[in-house]
Amino acid sequence: MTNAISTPTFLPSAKGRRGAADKLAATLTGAAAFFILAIIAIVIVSIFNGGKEHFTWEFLTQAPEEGMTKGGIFPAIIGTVYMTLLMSIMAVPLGTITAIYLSEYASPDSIFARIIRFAVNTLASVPAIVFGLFGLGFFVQFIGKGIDGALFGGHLTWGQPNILWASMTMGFLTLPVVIVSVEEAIRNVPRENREASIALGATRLQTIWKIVLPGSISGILTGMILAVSRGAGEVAPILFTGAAFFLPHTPHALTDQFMHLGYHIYVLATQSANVDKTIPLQYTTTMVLLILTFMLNLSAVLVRSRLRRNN
Amino acid sequence: MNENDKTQETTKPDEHRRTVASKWGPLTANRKSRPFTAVIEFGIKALAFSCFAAIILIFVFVFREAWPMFTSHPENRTAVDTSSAAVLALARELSPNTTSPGTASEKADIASKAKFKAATKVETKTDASGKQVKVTKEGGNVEQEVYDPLADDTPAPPKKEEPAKVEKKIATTTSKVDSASTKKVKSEPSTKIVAATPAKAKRSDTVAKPLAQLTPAVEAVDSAALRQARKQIDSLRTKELSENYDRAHATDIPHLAQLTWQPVSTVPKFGLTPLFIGTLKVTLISILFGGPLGILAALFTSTFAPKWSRELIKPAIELLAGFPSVVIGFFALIVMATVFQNFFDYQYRLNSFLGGIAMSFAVIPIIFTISEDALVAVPHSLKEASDALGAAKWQTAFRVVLPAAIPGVFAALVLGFGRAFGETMIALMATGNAPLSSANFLEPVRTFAATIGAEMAEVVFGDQHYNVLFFIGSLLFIFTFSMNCFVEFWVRKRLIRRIQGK
Repeated sequence: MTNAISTPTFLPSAKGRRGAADKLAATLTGAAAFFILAIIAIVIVSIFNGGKEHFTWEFLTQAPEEGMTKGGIFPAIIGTVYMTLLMSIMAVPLGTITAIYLSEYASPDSIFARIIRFAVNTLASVPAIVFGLFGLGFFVQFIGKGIDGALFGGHLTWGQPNILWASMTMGFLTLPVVIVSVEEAIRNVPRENREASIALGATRLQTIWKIVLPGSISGILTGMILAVSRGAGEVAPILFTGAAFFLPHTPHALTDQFMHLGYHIYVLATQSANVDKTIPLQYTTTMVLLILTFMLNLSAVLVRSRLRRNN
Repeated sequence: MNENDKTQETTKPDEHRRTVASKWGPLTANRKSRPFTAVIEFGIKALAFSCFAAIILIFVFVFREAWPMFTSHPENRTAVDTSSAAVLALARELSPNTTSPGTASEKADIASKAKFKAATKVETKTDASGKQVKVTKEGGNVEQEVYDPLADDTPAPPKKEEPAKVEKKIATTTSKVDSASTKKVKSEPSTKIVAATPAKAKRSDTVAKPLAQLTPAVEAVDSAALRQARKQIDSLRTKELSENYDRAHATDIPHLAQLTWQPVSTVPKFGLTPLFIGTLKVTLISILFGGPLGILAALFTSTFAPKWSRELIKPAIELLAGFPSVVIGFFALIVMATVFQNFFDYQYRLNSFLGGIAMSFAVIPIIFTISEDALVAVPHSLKEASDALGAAKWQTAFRVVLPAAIPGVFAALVLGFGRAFGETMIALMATGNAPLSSANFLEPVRTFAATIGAEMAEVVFGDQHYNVLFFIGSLLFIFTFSMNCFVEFWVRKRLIRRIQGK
């Protein structure tokens, strides 16, 4: 670091060169940044351009017809919604409790807290497909088959891919997302509020329940929104834990399979009988998925910025 | 713990690093008097451990499904397969004279055990072996034809096959034997289907149903073909012995390093090398393309950028991070593939180059975010010192700020690498999915993750292939886990040391 500044640049003659070099560096890095922006813009524009034609109310509210070459994506949308809701039911409480533990109970230097933090980081970096394998090996094969053996006399009920196992798998995937955003929100609750609560004689748990949680409700909401956004877009974990190729109806029991927007795109683009014929539908389905994730991410940003302003 | 914290606090008053928890030492007494609270707090602690438990569970249960490929002894497997009642039963079916009441009852016994799955199994097997027929016929360019029996462009076998359909299928394959003029070439593989299918099915006790359907199908074929099949059955059985032996050894560790990935065939080959090469090719391209872009962009926003463009770039890249990978894969498959092929004029529409560039869209946000964090974390004192020495802006940026943050940038690259290594949907849709081991970046490749994604849906539960796919999964897990450990324990320490100037 000390040898970093080797050339004397304060000489008047060097000044012009210096300005040019500065400009060059700024242009180079700026070009990289705007190249990324251009990529994003191209992706969005081309998908919206290809998809706007079929983007109608009927497309959103009808089931696929004629071997998925016509009709809409209603079961896929509903399946995605059901799956993300079930996933949130599992991931949000668990993530919130972990975040509470990490920020309220554990001292930052304790080994236990460090292990959990490391586990959260690791969980965030495990490939999605490994979660899929885990869901198949643990939920379907181990727990599902176990339930079947114990309660249904070996009759295949839970021991096959279904919406519950897919949601649980996805819940594990989105757990770190929830933990990180809830923890951030909890840390934003002013310390004075906690101290005042304790001064009034409240226990730690009462303080958490009455002061910390209400104060960080927007963070929990952000975590939930981000988790839903991730869950709506991720396909790999549900490939073999419950997503169905095609179903004419929406799932009405936990043991049903379901259609998923992302999986639907994958199926239409690579697995269906007539890929070329359905390209407009693929565009529109992708567009719907993009709009969904954009809206979710945008609302998360809004909630978070409101949270920051409040503090 | 609380007392310990308290003493620490008096000795070391670095307030900003401490949580509220340590402030609350005296409440311990209060907690003891409330058993209900204590229970709930214990529950919180236990649930907080769920993340750690999840990591352990993931590893245990992914590896648990992969384990049989190491433990089941080749001898046992051969024993199971040779005593295969399926082959014997088939032989009985084929020779009309030997049908006795004993066999019929035995058949009924097996039939009661049968599951529906068997129908599907026969179907996929026939498909795969059907490819084999093609290969033997063409002889020459094996590489192009064999590699991908389950390629994306072939429609996946229907999940639920009607029994009648299976029957028809078998009937047609068998009648091929009859009608073929070049009997030597064609009949051998197709009879192999008949013999190999039940042998395979035997492993999960699901034989009888396909057999029951097979009987009328075989009987429907005229007696010439029947005699031919019967004549060959003995030689096939001896041949199967040796093939089974190979099959039993297919998952031995030296065999996992071979250059052919051909999981669906009579003698499956589970060589992981082409998959590894494919994964490496795609990952390298994505890092080589996305790494510089992401780092330069992070440098731009952290040092050069005017405020308005920073406000624009950061949310936009966060937006890119929120892109579902299936959307990027779709974009690469439909739009980019065509544009690239027209522009660069290469042979294969989907290849590792395209896949790598598409993958970099997923990697750029990670590299950008983490390296930007590291660059922003460089203390102002360093920049000010550099400015005070008369350094130009670019000198400060490239020679002071970037070197100070280099461990963080490195961490960003490592994590980006880990992401690209395990990314499934983009690889599945945009790389062409052909397990070739070549150094050419313009040829189709198949990555580890894409292999799992493409083949798991069609695999027989408990089969060798199934185990190998889980083994690949645990490899992916171990790989990303060690990358994460590396970043967590090595890079972070160095980063702190550098920034604090110790």
